[in-house]
Amino acid sequence: MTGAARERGIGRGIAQCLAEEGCDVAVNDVGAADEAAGLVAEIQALGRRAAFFPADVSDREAVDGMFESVEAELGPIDIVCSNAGVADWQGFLDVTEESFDRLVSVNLTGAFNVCQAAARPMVAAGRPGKIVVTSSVHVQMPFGEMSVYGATKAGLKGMVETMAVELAPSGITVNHIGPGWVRSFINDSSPSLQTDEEVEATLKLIPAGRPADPRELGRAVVYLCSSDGDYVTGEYLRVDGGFVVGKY
Amino acid sequence: MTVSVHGLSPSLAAAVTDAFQAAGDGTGEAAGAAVVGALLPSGPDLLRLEQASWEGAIGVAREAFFSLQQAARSLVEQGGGCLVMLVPAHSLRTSRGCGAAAVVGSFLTTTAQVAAVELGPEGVRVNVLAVGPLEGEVDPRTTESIPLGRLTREADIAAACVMLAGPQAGFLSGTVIAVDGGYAVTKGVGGSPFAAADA
Repeated sequence: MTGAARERGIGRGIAQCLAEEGCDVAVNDVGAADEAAGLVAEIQALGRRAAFFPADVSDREAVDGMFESVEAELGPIDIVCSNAGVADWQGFLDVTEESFDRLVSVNLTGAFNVCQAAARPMVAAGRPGKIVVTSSVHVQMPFGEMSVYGATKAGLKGMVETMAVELAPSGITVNHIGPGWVRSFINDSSPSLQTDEEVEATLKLIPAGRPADPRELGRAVVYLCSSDGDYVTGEYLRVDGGFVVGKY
Repeated sequence: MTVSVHGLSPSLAAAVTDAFQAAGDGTGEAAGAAVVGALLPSGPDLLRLEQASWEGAIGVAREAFFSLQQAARSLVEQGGGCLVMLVPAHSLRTSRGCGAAAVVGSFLTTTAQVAAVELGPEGVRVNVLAVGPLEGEVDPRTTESIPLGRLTREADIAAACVMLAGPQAGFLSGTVIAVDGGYAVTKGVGGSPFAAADA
């Protein structure tokens, strides 16, 4: 479970829900060791095994090393959730190369690294598996000021759909979830969510009238990773309170 | 009407430039147009794709992104114009071995759509052409999965670029048009017309 450590984060909600359903969890994040330790303790309190495996998903060697450690400590991986992501807000004309490279290396190349490194041993061992990637409502809803972020998420759709076709004969499903607005760490620096009035205005755009709880994304992932989701692959499951409906 | 081209093969660049010249003032838009291409070929399955090949595909997307940005800046300074992004139709219909093309095509489609949102008020229209399998670049058997019975020609792309730059497309922005003879709406086995033959 990459990008899992942050409190209020989607990854943490997914990790909690999977642990409650009986999964042992390899908690990954690039930092936030204290928050990761808290999550590991929570999962262990449920009677499941858990450990923290820090790694930067954009670094392929680190990702390969992480999977070796996970397998040695917790055993073969059945489910991989590629969730780590970063965001930036810049007008299209002002996007810098530095911002572009940071977002693409984590959101897109990071997901490729994680999914490929996780799926190769599944296929080699003839073991079925589940892959779930966190994309975004940006996949279908272009947001101004977020061209690179939105593009990375759309790129994930292309990756997921192709992997779904390629890995289906190996019994591996590949899907992505589309969170709407979550009051997560990644959104704290959104320039349009800094005042109560701005938050209120954003809530008015969401038919459900509230942000998503990370655990609601977690329950969607549980569905995709359970036997209920065995015949679901290449799919995009939006969990956004109706945010994009009627708009895009 | 001036057109600048970025990231196109020499022959496609010539086809596009020639088509704009042939259209002359008939394209009707005073400011100008830019065509940015990122037409990646298909390759190995994503599980077998080497890291260097992935990085190469990302490099193509990067170059196209900043070419589009540069062209957009120039058109904004000129008071408006038309941007066309050429991506592989695998962004609409993926299949085995088309992962890198699908990723880059989807990436640049959203890039163009966000640019359309932001640059509309500046008089800049941004649209996407999803280009089908190209004549001379793919196995001719691909033709079997194309309703119009042939592969995409450079002239098809050039004509669509001229159309998008012209007055008839003056209210089109942020849209995706498939120039693929219907390829994107077909359903080959496993998404690939060769899946059975090559198995």
